[in-house]
Amino acid sequence: MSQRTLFDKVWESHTVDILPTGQTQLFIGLHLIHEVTSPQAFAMMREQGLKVAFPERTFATVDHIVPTDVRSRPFADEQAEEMIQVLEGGTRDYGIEYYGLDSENQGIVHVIGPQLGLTQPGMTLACGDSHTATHGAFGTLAFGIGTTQVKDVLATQTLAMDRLKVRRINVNGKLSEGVYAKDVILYIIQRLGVGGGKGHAYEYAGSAIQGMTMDERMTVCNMSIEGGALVGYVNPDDTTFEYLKDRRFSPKGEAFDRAVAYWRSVASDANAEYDDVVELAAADIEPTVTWGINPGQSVGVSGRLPRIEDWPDREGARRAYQHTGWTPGTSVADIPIDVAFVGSCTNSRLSDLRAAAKVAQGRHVHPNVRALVVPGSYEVKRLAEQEGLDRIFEEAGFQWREAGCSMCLAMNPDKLQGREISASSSNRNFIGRQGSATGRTILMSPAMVAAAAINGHITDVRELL
Amino acid sequence: MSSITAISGTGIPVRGNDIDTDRIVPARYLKEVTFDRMGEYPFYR
Repeated sequence: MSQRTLFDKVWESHTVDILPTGQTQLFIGLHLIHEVTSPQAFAMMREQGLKVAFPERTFATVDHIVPTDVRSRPFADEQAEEMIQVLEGGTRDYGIEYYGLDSENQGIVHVIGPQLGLTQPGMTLACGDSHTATHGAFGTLAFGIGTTQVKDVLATQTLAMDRLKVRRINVNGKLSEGVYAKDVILYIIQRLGVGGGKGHAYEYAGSAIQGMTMDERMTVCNMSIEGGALVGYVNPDDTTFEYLKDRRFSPKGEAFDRAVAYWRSVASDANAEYDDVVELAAADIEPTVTWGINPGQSVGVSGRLPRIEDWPDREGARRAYQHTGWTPGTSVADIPIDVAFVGSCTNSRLSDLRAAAKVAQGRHVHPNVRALVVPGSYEVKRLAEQEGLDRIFEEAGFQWREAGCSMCLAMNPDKLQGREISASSSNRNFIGRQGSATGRTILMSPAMVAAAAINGHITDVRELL
Repeated sequence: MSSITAISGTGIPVRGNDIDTDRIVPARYLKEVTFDRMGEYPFYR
């Protein structure tokens, strides 16, 4: 009787060889590339005279550096223009499918993979981006890799990897009104620590996770790396298969039924053995915000900023307060904001925009706040406009932008200025992350961002629902 | 192909824990298309 996890099954079915180092040479089913981590990889390929082993398993888009207001070429930023040209050249020379600015498939790489049905259960996936575990929502082993590994995958379609341990995280029970997938993952990271997942894959399970939509599961898996876990996944089930039906790259007809049977078989066995199991109660999770400089430094919105001596990592808390300048013990709701950002691969899908629009509808952005909504893909933007979300946002005083990564990491013109404080639905509150070395980032759900934008300070979204 | 058994260079101790990637190279400086000029950006503030 099999007692294997999804991780075991997918890892073993993709193992090519065990290397002399003890590492596994793992076949990669799907490789997603973009303009930031591919240029040097293409340069190394050319230098070494290598060919792309499986161009048909490689897909490219442009997301990180794309301006979200005026997208005309050449970009005002010469470096950004050079990056997109190198990607265009590389994909053309090596015969790789590329969804550029003029493609209806363009968008954040972790939004378009699932949207197109490229991401499927039981596969291995790699992308030169930290938040690749997003695709784990489908029961995919999805690895965020570095530029030299991007070259490895281009040239060989394999990676040399150390096998991970598997920690199952059960979130049991039902989430309360106003508590979203983002709150769940922020809570998990706060409980287990930003380094807690080192050497592990996280398997998210339990009734709260099973009850989530695919969009919500993607939000949870997306931030696995912020908890130190290279890989995070949810076992595929009917919710997964329903999502994949009729997507552009999903199998069709009988082939789909056969695929579903296979996809079902890769889920962890009921009696699978884990290296570690963590039990959490959904009822303990409230709308959550970060107060520091890493995603594990978070607190419930009804709480106060922690005292340094009460925080397990005192040195980390001290460094956080040094940067933010906030006073321990301050009520969370007393923190004012200057910028509100709804977007990023964590929270820019249609359901995220709907949740923020529900809060924004019939209200107005506070005069001290600059607020922007950046859809995760051209397709998300189109669907949102079809149901009038753009009008709701614009009437409320939010800017409605074009698809891209935007102010999640400020590689495009969307940046914080000086000491600005940002309420952000993104994934990292590291110092300097949103474009200003002295700026401050508070991570939260898209609905909470909208609530903060309306009131001009951190707000419990449950008051506005 | 010969195996790499030794690497030499200058070692620099970095103080503190939890050195996040945006401290190693802030994301907004990841715009080089070759490795040539990357040397300017580590631990840039």
